[in-house]
Amino acid sequence: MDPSTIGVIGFVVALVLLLMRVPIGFTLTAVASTCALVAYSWRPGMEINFGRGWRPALGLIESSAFEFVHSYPLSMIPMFIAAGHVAYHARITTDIYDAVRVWLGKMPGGLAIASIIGCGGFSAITGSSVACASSMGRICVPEMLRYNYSPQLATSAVAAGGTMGSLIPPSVLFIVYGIFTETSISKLFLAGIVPGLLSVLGFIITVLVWVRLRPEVAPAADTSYSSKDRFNAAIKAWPALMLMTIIIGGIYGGIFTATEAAAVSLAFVAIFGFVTKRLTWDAFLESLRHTAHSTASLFFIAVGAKIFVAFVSLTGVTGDLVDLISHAELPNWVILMALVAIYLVMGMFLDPLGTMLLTLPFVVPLIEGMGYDLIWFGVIVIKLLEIGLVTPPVGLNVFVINSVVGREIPVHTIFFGVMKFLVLDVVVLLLLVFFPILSLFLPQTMF
Amino acid sequence: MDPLIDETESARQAGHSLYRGKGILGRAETVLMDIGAFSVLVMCFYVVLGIFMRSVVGGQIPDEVVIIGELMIVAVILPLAYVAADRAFIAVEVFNKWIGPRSDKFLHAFAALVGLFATTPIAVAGYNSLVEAVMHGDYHFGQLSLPEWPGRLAFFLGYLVFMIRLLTILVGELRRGVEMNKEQAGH
Repeated sequence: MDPSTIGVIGFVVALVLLLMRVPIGFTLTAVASTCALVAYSWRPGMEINFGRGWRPALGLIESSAFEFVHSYPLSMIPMFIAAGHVAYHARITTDIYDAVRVWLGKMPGGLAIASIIGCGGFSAITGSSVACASSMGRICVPEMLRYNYSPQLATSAVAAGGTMGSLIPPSVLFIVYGIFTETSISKLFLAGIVPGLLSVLGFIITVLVWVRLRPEVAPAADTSYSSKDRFNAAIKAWPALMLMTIIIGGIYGGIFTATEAAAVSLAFVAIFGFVTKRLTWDAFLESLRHTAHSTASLFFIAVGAKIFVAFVSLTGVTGDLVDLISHAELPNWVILMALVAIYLVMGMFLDPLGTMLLTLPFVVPLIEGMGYDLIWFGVIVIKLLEIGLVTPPVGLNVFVINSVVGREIPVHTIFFGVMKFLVLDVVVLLLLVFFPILSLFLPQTMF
Repeated sequence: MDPLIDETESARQAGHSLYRGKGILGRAETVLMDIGAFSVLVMCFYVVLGIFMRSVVGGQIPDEVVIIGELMIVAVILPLAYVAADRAFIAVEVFNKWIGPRSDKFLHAFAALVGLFATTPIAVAGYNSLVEAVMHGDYHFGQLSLPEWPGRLAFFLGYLVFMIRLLTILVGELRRGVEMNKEQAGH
């Protein structure tokens, strides 16, 4: 059988299995393994012979899975995840929000803005959007509701703000993207900074406009703070600032690799937690267990994707796809917009990692063929995946916030609130698409 | 405005608590998970030690890349069975609302079956590589010439326990499905 046909059949079967709620990792691995066996056993113009195909198929599966996991650069993923969990238990992440809310609490919508900045700060420590929404949701939403903020604003501000976990470094999605596209993870991290800050700015503007048009959604708090309170609150946030300096400053200054920055971050938060007695041994162990749990779950998809990528290259279906599109002689911007649309639609139904790993084998050769920068394209993809985290029907962050706040605030209320944030998010996306320098400026100047 | 202490405390208490394994398999999964968790800490220590040696002593620690790679196998592969038992693998759940209890059971069983299809070749391939590494005495190139078999063993062991857990899930779901059918026939 023609390998390209096997590739297309494999892709269709994978989509059917995904719709049947088979976990993404199972789907990718099972389909890729089976199709690789068929491809090796059923060469074009020959009879099918599984005896001939099973040994190379097993070799492909084993080398893809083992060599992928046996990786020094990928060790930054568990270490960044652990740093996030430990920082949460040591209350470093809470301190950022606490500091900002003391400074901004009195202004209309100040708590919502503090939540967004808090999410940005949390993202600069952890690297996971869902973890950001879940942790900040537990802290910020009850606080806003206590001060009579509208449930829609309170929940949607955190759901939208939580998406920044993927764009602001360190980001697990950037790491996986970097590994699969063989681009520099340090450069990707730096490329995410300006777009991340633009997203924060867009969300803040949304809150300001929303509160200006409907002041009743965010009544001003009646408590005032002295300069001393504000100074103390700002000082309390030093560990978070220190962490950001280690990660971003260390990488930008060429002092650390991204992997080393992850290890130093974890060591810093653990030492800080134990020295200040904010972290108990039990909480530390629990953080490590949560880390192993999240890492295994994430890597199982990534391993499946790695085998899937190996299978896709074996079939040559990506080459055919690139040929097909180049023969169609479409302008680059049409292809780019089509890709944006595909990511937006897939993001509505699939989780970000699954979307990214399913599409990269097909999309990266296309992007390279068009001569676009893969670092810039990585930022665009991550931004699109972030948008997918809050778009119905499977806006993961919205469901996370819903599970955190309970049934009193229905999912559709949060979705309607998030729509307001999406307007400026799309503007930011367009800015990033049409002005690549916004993403590429920092990586181009790194040491 | 009050301090945030209450929210922080409640947040910590409301955090997702991990599944506690029962039975021999459950306990084995928990032990493997704990080993995986500990290896993350060892990785951190080893990388930080490498930075210290480079910047303060001006030396290098031996085989850093190989050792971190081996620890990654432990950290990533050993907890897989635990995650499967906790049913924490990510799936597309768009049509969940429209699925009845019987279809739900069927889909769980089907997912476990596909999972077995997915993991069996990896476990078999892992076993072959382990045997090869032991028979040929394969080792990693580097100052310490570390043997390859510990990493291969962890890889095979992780996938083997993962397969066993998926098999128990499949059998359990099928049994519950049959019981459900009997109950409905009784009514």
